[in-house]
Amino acid sequence: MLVLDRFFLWVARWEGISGFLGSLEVWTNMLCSATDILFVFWFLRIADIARSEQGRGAIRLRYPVLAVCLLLTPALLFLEGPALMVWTSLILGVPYLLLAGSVFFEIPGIVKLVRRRIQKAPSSGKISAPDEAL
Amino acid sequence: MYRAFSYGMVLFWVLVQQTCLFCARWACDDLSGEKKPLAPFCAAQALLFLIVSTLAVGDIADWIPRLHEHANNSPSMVWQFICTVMLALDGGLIAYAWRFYRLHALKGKHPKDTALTLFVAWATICLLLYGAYFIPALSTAVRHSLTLWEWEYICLFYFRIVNTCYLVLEGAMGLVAFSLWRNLRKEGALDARS
Repeated sequence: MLVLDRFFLWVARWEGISGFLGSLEVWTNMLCSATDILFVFWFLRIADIARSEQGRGAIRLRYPVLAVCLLLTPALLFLEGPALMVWTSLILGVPYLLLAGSVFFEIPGIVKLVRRRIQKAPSSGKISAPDEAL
Repeated sequence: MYRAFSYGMVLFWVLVQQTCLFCARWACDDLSGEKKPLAPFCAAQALLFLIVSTLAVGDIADWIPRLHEHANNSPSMVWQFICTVMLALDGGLIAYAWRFYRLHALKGKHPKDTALTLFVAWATICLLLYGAYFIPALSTAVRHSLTLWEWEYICLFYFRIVNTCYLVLEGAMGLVAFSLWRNLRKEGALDARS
């Protein structure tokens, strides 16, 4: 208990904690935003394969929206406090909205695509994906 | 106003995560041909959202006792709890994304469904982390009469731990999505050639 007490008192009273937490906040928010956007991007790429096999048009508008959000991410470096929260919410919120909509509407097509690919594969039960290592 | 906006955003994120989690669960069940009932899963998610939103409203309306009066959400233990819930949901998402990837990679073989077990185990770890951090932190704060600023640093330190975990999990999800896309693209190229 004494160790924990000392730890929490150190966190609460260390002179450099404000700067340390502040810079960590900016960097983690920026990296989280970037990784989220990249995840949404790869999801849309998968959806694009499914759409092309179904003869549907490619995704067009959602990529520029993601690109704008990614380009705005470094702006978080210059913000702090409530402004940082509001801008992080917008920069992360838009890709999240895209993700929710895309997952909901594109997942049936992706499932159909993956099922077709599984059925096309040899039925030996052997691992046959190009990427076996993962 | 700012507190309501922050809570609104965080509830929106929780809802997005739950939507993705529901879709991922449905996709895995549909692909594996397992007809597991989705209703209990949906009911559990709805209950979770109800709890989380009630806590948020309770915190804004001052129904929940707090250590200090504050104008932002960082020193709020409810806020930190919702962030922990988001971390738990992120773990569920990666568990189902990984299962979906494996269902595709192990063609013809159905890997054992451990996604729900992993999700529940991860959620338990997240809640234990929350308890293990805040019970002694609260005790220290009360015994040493920590000020609002000092308490806020303790809360922010916890949030930085959680945020780093988000980063790792979201990076892992991106990696799984990239690997699945690469495999599907390679298969498409092979199909086109044959």
